[in-house]
Amino acid sequence: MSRRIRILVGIVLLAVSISLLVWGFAPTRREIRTQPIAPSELQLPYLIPLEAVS
Amino acid sequence: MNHSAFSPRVFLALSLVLMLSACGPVVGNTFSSISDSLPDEEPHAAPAATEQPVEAAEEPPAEEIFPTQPVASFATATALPNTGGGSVSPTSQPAIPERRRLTLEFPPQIRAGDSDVVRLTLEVDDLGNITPTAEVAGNIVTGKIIEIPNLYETHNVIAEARFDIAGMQVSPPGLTSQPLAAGQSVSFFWSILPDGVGIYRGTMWLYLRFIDRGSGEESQRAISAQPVEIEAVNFLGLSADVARSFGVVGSIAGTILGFPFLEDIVKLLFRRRRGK
Repeated sequence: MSRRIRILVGIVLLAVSISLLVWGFAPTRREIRTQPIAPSELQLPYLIPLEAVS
Repeated sequence: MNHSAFSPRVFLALSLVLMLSACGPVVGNTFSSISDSLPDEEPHAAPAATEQPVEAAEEPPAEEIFPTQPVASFATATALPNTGGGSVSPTSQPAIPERRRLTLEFPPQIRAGDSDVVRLTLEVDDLGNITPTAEVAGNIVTGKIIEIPNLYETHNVIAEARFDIAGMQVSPPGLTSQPLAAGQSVSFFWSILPDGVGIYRGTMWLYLRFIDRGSGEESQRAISAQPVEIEAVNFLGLSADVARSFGVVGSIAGTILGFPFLEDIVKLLFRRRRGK
């Protein structure tokens, strides 16, 4: 009887420990957001005269 | 001047075409509104011209309405971005001649007690450089290349990024800067460490700073502000380090207790060693 209880406790302990290990070492999920940026958004925040550019 | 040039029919046709063009979509500047509405107006304008079988076809003033002549001048004006919605003066706005892509990579869920990395990359799009063109269908001039001054030649461009998130340790804190060169990508990395379990909300900022090479004048423009939400979790109330430690110890103990013959095997090994 004590042998059965010991095996049962061992299996439960092993299951919990493996769960902890899996959770502890599992790679985290990564979220990737991609946003296109048009050249019109990469401009100066103000207009400059044409003569100043050339 | 011909007498037929001032006939009421011609004036009627001119006024009809002008009214149609006035009903076009309202865009920020006058040039773009005219050029944008041109393709839509063509089907309407054509019947109006056919209604005047002989006289309208002979009239030079009626041809001035069609956009074949001034397309080039319209093209340079429509190349300007319509940001403000107001009228745009005939100026040329220097721009970065690249289509770029902003990529934000972060963990939406993180183990409490663990650190992780957040990455922000401003890279050149796979499409490469773009050639802005103006195109009016049905006209002679198509694909007119527009000269937009290269911003890299007139300004030093610096990409700046900041990751604001309350309650979480962020390294490096504050604003980080990197020079932005033509055709090159810039990446920013932050290391984050949550103080405890919970949901952390923050904002990822990206700015471009332009420094005029001639005058040294600086200007800044916010390119992107993305909301970021990161949840810090634990497992059965255990942080990541404690959970891993318990996992290792528990696995060993569970293996010893759970395997029925393991004790016999260990005893047998000890007996053999003593016998030797």
